[in-house]
Amino acid sequence: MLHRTLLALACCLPATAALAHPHNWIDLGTRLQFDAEERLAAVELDWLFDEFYTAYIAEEFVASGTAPSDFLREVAAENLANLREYDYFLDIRKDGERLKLGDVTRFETEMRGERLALTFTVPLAEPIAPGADGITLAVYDPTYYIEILYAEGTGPELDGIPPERCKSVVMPPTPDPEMVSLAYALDMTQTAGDGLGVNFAEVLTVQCP
Amino acid sequence: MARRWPLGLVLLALVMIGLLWTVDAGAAWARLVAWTVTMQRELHQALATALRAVAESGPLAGLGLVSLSFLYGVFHAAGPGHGKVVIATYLGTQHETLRRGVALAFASALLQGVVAIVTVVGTVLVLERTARQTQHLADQLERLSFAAVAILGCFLVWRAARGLLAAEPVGCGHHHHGHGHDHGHHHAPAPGSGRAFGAALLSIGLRPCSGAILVLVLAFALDLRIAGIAAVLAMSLGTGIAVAGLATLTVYARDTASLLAGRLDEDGRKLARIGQVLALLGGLVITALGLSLLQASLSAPAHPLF
Repeated sequence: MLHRTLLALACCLPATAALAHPHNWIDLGTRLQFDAEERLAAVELDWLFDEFYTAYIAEEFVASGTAPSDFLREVAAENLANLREYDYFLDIRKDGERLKLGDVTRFETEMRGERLALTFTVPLAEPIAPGADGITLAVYDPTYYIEILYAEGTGPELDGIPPERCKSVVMPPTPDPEMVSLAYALDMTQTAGDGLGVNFAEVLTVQCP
Repeated sequence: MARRWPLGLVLLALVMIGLLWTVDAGAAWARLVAWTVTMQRELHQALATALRAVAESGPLAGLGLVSLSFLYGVFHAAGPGHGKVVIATYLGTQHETLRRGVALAFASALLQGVVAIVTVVGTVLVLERTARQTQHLADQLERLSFAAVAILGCFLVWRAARGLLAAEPVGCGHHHHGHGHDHGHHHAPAPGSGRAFGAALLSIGLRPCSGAILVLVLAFALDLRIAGIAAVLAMSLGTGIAVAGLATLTVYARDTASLLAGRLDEDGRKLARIGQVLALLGGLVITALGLSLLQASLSAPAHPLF
């Protein structure tokens, strides 16, 4: 009897996680922009949305594959304004500490074939030199409703710094079972499953010794 | 004495299984989640491609779309979801027959699909709103469905409490006589409550399946309304089959546990009490689930991209 009650209670924990299951996907591209002093100053993000999200946004234009650019710009501006408080899903860390970001400086949006694309540049509040210890960069939706991964066969690009100066490695997501379970359990008490997405994020490390 | 031995062993085994489950479930669960996420991504991409194929090569390609949707439905149901928790808890702790459990699984899956269709048709065709607005309507329906979960839980608690307080527990007239076929009879209250069944159906079915909405929005954007609706119905069928499997397992597990427990209890009275206490606990679990889902849904900010 007891085990069945336990079982029933245990079942409750992951229930809200269903809401956090990814339902949309973004193919990611990143370009790290360094300043003259070889400090990371800004990151250009390229998001290629899946066809389902594209249909949400541009339903009237999906069949033709072209959409009026002022319409797309309006939607993109709205989305970026909404994303501000989430740091544009961009998590850059030095020594484990999250760095402050500025407002988007420029953005472009277009239909790329059948899919909607959004390219935007996020400056760091203060440029930072990665150094030998390096910095980490991850792009993820904290609620994990959208899964964001580097487009297959692509990786980060480093701009404004000699290619041999830095070493960059992308670590695939390694969702530790215990961490995932914990994240799911926390879901019950914390809002909207924040903290789930980070477990499924690819983490880029850039070291410039 | 010789008779007591196997009973002790059975009890010990039950406790061991319970312990093993609680220890191992977390890791196994996480592995399952990671795997379902990958599979889901691939199925989504395949669905988008299949829709394009229908747009380009006509109705015959619809067969591919419909079978893929069916698979998606089966698969989606295998992942976590509030409906499955409600069904498992409801059937695990209440006295419902296998047939009604299976009917509940299919009816709720079908209702989810129909609600998704009505949501998209309603916002896009009738109200002439943008597809983005379907998400807001879907969010409202989701809250309604969570509220229905809490109401179902409260109803089950009330029903079980009434049975417990009654001098002679309801539905407990049979004396246990050790045969397998009558094990279900100890449970109280009596089966056949249409209200509980209806509340369970609504609490699961009112929340439109998000995958179905995604497919419908893309299908409508591509001007493939019939194909989209057929795909969603195929999804519902797939989900119904998977959830019916879960319902069957739950009912068998419940009946087996009740059969084993029946051997310990000669006249069936204690067992009937335990059945009622379990029904009460099940109701409490469902109430708590509904309230926490509702609370999470109400406090969650809108997704920045929707």
